[in-house]
Amino acid sequence: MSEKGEFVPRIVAFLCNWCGYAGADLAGVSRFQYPATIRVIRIMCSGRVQPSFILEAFKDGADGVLVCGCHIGDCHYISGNEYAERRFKKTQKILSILGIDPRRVRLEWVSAAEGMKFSQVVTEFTEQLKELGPFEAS
Amino acid sequence: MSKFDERIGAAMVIGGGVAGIQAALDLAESGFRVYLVEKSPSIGGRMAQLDKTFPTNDCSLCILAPKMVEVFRHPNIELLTYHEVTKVEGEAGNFEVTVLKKPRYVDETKCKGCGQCATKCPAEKLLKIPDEFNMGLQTRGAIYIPFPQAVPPVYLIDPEHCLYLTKGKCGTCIKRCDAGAINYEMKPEYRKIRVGAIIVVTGFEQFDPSKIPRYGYQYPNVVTGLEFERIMCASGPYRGEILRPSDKKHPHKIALVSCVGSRNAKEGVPYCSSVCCMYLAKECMITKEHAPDVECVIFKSDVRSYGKGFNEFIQRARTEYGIRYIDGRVSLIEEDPETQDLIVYYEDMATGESKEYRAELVVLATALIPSKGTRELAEILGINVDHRGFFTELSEISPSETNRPGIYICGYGQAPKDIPESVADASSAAGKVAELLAPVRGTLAKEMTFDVPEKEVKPDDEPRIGVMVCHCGINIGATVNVPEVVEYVKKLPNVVVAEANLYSCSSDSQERIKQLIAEYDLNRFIVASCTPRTHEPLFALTCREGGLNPYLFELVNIRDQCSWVHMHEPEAATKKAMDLIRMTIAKSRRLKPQAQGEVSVTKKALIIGGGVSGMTAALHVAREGFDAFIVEREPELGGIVRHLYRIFPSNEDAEELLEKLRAQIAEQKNIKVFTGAKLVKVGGYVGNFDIEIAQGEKLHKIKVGAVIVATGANEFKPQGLFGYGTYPNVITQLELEQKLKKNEVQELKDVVMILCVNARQIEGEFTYCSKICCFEAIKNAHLLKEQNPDINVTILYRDIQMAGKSSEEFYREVRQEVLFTRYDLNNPPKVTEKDGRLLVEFQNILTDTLTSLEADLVVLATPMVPPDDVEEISQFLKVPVMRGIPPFFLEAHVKLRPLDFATDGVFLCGAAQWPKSIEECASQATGAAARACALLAKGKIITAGITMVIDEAKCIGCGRCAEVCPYNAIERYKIEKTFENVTLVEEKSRVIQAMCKGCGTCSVECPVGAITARHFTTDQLNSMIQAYLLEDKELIKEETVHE
Repeated sequence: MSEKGEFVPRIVAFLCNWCGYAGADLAGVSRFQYPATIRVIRIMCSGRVQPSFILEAFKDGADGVLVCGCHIGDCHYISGNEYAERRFKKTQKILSILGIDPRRVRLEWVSAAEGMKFSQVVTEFTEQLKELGPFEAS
Repeated sequence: MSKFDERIGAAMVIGGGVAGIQAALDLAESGFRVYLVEKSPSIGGRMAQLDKTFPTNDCSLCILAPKMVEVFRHPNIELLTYHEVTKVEGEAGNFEVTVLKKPRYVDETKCKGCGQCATKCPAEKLLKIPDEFNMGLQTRGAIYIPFPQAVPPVYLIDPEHCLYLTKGKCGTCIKRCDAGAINYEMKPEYRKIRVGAIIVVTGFEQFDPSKIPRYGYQYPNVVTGLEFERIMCASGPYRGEILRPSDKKHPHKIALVSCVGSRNAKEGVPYCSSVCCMYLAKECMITKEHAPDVECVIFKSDVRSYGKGFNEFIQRARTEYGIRYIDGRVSLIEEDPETQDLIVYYEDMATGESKEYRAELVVLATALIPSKGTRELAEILGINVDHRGFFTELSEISPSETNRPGIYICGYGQAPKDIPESVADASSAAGKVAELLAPVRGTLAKEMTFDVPEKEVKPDDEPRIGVMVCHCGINIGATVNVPEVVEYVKKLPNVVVAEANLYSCSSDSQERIKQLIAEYDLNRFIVASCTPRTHEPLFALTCREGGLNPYLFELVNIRDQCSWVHMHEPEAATKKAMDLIRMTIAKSRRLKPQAQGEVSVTKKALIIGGGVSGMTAALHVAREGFDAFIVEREPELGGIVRHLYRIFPSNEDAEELLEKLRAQIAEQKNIKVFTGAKLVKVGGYVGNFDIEIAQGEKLHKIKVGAVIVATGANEFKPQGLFGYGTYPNVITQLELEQKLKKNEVQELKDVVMILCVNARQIEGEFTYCSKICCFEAIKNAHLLKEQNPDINVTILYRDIQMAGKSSEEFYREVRQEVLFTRYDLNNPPKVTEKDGRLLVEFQNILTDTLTSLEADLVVLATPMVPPDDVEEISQFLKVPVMRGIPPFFLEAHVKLRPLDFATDGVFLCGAAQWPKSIEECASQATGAAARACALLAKGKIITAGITMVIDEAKCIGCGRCAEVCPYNAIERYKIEKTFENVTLVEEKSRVIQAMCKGCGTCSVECPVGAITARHFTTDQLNSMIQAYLLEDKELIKEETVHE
């Protein structure tokens, strides 16, 4: 919660080194502002995102998890993002089973040229999580 | 002995676009010192300005930027941006080049790229200076950086507009620069550099469309292709929204006009610019992705789509995206002054009628011409330029050599070409330099050495972490409360020392880091400043210099992803900076030193295929000083060229060319040829392949470090099509070559050629354009006329594919002596026989009448197809082939790695990759061989620290990891386990460290968690999540650090 008592979601963001992270950097260079709700964990490829990381984040009290990789076809490691996408869909199903709203996780393709998109993604996701309210493990 | 007697192990590359970048990297990796000279303030060239690249629609800058950064960091590349070459003396092996360093008025050793200086430059508002990078679609200040990802990331002052430099009044920027980098007194400087060879790769610019007034470029809503790229780009002037310049509204109807100044010797240039058909289709597709309701209409004559996947791309543009193509010649573009819409007047080529189209935006595919200053540079260098303004090659078979030995050319300055062709030719030009300078390889390239030995850090050692928090002038400090962050960090576990700093990247800060490591006996270090994508290597190197393993360093991004994006929320930004550092401390405590391994390399190469590509590759390997083996399944060398008569466009006799190459091969002692031989086994991996070749009864076992695939392609035999196989006088182009060779054409009166026979179909395997058939047919038509001027030759075509610098002129010439008639794919010609003569019936598109022609000979142009053993070779080498169309080999990246496979140590060239001309095959073969030689020259492969390791005890041998690995970096092996008297064989997987790229996909796939992603371990990443969400609890509760 912020000082004013308004709910500020806590988001763990996994960004791949080559696109997602680069897009986030470009948002910075371009000074596109977005809410200070994410904490970035840099990984080399979105294919490294293990479903257990997402579960760990919710276990520890995250309100949302964001994963950003290269657009399909642009993966620096040829096909890592395709695996990321498949696993992400499975993870969403697992979350549903666990009673976690799948809207609390997001997979977005953000290229190194999409600084604006990155800031929009964070802004929109933050808004959505505000609507969903704080995550409470059931 | 004069100063020009010795050879110098350094080279200069002039031009810092994508091809120049490739040439510089290849040379540096090959053991030479490189000076990369670029006249503009940043490298990146035209590719950096593109939004996406065809045919994959990859984000252009995303794939280019890592290469730009690689150049910037490379210890053996000296980047000379904003420099120009003014004088060249000496000769091949030893040149003295004078370069002019233009004053930036910003000291690049001090500038941090923060941009504070540019925020208040009054010249932007006063003078509205057009921003060149955005093609003048937005303005910039007089102090500026060309684009956010510029390399070097340094600002400069434009002296023509700077108020201080022009009027002596202002000085705003100097007051705003905390780094003290601005210096209005800077003067031009000259410097002499000695190099052994020079590569000229200067690129292109747009033909000025205002030279042809009917295209209406004076109207605001008529833009060029390059301007439209900026309009579409997410980081462009309109932030990726497709708007028209006059009123910034979304256009609903866009007309795109091809060949503006191209293929137009009278008003523009005589050649085809080679890339416009493709980029227009791409721009339409992207436009439709942005706004599906926009109507896109392309006015064209021929659609040239001859590259890999290009014709399919055009098909998709038509069918999936609904892009309209109009066969129309644009006669005038006028503006409606009320709406600022454009009226495009054109002649409909299908009907001959004059029509008009009303568009809200017009995009002109203007001709691309050699960039400004090409002629002047040619004069300085003493190399030739042709009547079109391109640098002239010495011979078509070696397109990178010039009239002046030791000076090589590539890229668009040599001839129109697309990105992969430019990149491949750049590798080829670098190869030529390596041939010349092979004896002095390694004499000037530095290998990194360190004075302080690396200190041992054991897993049980208590972490001792040092943290430096950067103000980055006011970039971080104005938003994030840095002193508060430092105080907070000091209290975190294992932090021995933490301090703030004005600029962490300055050279005195590097000294400070080393001092702290020594003084506090640190075994981990963290800098919280900018982005690891550009700065991690610098700090990691500093740590290593201070005796710390580079993998014990971590960078926290509190600028680009914190202070800059939360500028109005200082408290939130400060809290975020604290969180991010705390998370990184959690990871840092779990870091382990990573050793970079070494694998030795066998300095030999195997070339599969003994055609022109294979022979050229082998000769190159031998000339660089390594052993080469050629395996060729036919009894003699020569490949498909054995069936050719004369070669386009040089008109050289094919047999003579082959004889020359065979003689050169025979002369080289370090080339061994196995003809009538076949690959039967491939083991091992990059650096050390174990190869078995069967030659008759004999089995040869050899060991090589690299493999080059040059298996070529064959002509498709169109059994049953157009009477082929039924009527003996229906033959293929290759069969015609034999008739020409034997001069069996004297009796002929009428010859009809049909192009695109089983090519460019709508469906099936043969949807592709085979690229070279138009060249071959037009050349053969010309030879027919040459040998027998009385023959009537008719060519039935669909779209003529004569790209390149001389082809279009040749085509126009042949049009004078040969009748060209267009047919429609839906209504193809029919070939029958009547009274012993052939009868060709077809629908004439222009007159819309059924026409029939009698012929003595019908010649079919069919596509090239890969030989039948391609699939087998692809399995031996574990490299992919294309699916859905005949199996051409699939390179690592269609744009930027045209000569490599994703599998390390295996390279690709020639028609095995895609149908191509002989000169292109030769150029690619040199390039692929040069890339292989760079690997052989190093003699060892340094394996990265960020790779995967599999725990043998945990591995259940399911092989899932090997299935998902895109690099074939996981091998399967067997172990035996004996329990009392029972022996079990278990299968296991292991990572070939030399091939692993560190993506980590396999580690997630492993069902038993046997794979550790080094430097990104599950434990490390989990600890970051916990450190964020559980705040200090996690750090405090935990007594020991365990893996």
